[in-house]
Amino acid sequence: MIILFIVLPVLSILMSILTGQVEDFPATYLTTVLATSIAGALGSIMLSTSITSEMNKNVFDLFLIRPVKRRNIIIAKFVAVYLCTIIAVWLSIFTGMILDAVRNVSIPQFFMEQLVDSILTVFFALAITCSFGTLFGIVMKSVAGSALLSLYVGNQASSILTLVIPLISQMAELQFGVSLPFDPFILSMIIGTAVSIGILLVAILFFNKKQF
Amino acid sequence: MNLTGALVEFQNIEKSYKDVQALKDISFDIRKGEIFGYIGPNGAGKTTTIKILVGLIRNYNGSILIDGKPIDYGEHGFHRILGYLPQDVGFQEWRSVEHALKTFGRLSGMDSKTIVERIPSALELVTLEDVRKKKINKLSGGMKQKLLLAQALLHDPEILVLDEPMTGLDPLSRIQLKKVFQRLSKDEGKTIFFSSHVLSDVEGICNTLGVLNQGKITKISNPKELREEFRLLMGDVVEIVYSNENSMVRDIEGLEIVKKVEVADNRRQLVYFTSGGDLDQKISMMLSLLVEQGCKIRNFNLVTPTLDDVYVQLIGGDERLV
Repeated sequence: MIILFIVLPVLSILMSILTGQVEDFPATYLTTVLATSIAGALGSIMLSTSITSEMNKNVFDLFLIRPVKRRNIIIAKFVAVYLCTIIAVWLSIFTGMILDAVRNVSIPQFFMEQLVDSILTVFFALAITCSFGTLFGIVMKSVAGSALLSLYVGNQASSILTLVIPLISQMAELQFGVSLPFDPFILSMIIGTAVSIGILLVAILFFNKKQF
Repeated sequence: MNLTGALVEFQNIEKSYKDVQALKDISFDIRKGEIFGYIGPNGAGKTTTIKILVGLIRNYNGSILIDGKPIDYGEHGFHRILGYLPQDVGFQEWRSVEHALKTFGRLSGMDSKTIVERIPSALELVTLEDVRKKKINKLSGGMKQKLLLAQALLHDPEILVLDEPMTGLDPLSRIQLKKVFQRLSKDEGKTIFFSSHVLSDVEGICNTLGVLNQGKITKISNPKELREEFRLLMGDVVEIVYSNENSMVRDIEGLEIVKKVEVADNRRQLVYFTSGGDLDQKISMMLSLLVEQGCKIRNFNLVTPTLDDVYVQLIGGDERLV
């Protein structure tokens, strides 16, 4: 977890240094793009690999023989990694903002206006990738296999929110000159939550059936 | 309260893995406050029985009763009174010893104050008090095994289920832990169910022994009765150690009272008497024969079967006492 808090902000600083030659280019742009694009991968890989390797080492035996529901163990694992990834993303973005403040680079108003909506959409996409990470962590026996599957399937599934919905929304406006009858952000939120909960329920079902 | 005094009752437990039947109609009771040694060779089904009891394996046939009622793995059920030391288990090794115990304590339903109070005594019991702040990945194998016992004892459970608890421990630690088990059973009335394939681990501390072989219970008895039964089965045996090789008498077998004679090494013989009759008289007759032949005896003693002998007999191995 600590690695998440360090890796993302450090990468942000490195990116800022590397692009330091470009005058007046806000570091916040880079840190936001970087953090949001790799957060899903990091979260899902962390979840899938830790669950698979801990199951292979029988670490769960010591949790499952206590008076707690099996589902709570999996939900706790999901929530811990999900929240830590979100915190790491924000830390990274704040690092970019601090760097911009130090360099006296101004961040455009339109970017700041869209930042919260975009980030929140990414967080719902992150929930999808993390839920796939949890599922493959439970189902797979190979650590590498669970990492690869959660990375691939998680990213594909989460692109519904980050690519498909904005695309449909824009196409409706450009092709037909109409706006969708719902806010794309709200739609992303609903789909993201529903898919994540659905996948987590499947993961819990598998975990409950598992013989240790 | 269960009238039979049994805390745990296994009733006709059967478990199969694909085509292999791991447990065949296992039925036995563990009484309150007793130390039950569950012994058997590797692969006999000890861990499977234990995993079924603690709820890690749930698809099996048969039933388990706790205090006369069907076992309940709910939040207020069996896991509240269970302390479990598994075999071949890993920790989240990035945690410190104290951090890990705090987590286990919370998951066991303990409040923070009690956890803080109990951690030092649990660590002291297993002589790990000096490594409280150490990361688990810095501990030796034996220390991790002791930490497993500490987590099992932390919440002061009524029943301790220990799967090969002595694995990886040095001889001194084994003796210390045996004393701990005896104290927990005698002074605190804890019920202890532990498996082992090393008989010296269970020798001297178990009230009851269950012998498991190829998924079947071969014998349930107390160690003293088992030895006596075995002695009766094998007949009386005396060991004679001669002063030198030349003085060994080889024709004792001619005596009517002697069933067979085994030469253990060049100065040692085992004499198996026929069953029935007065043992003292038989010994006198044999000694007279030896004295008549002028042999020099350095040592002479009646062989008491050890648990190892009983075990080998029960699992269908070599019958010999040596």
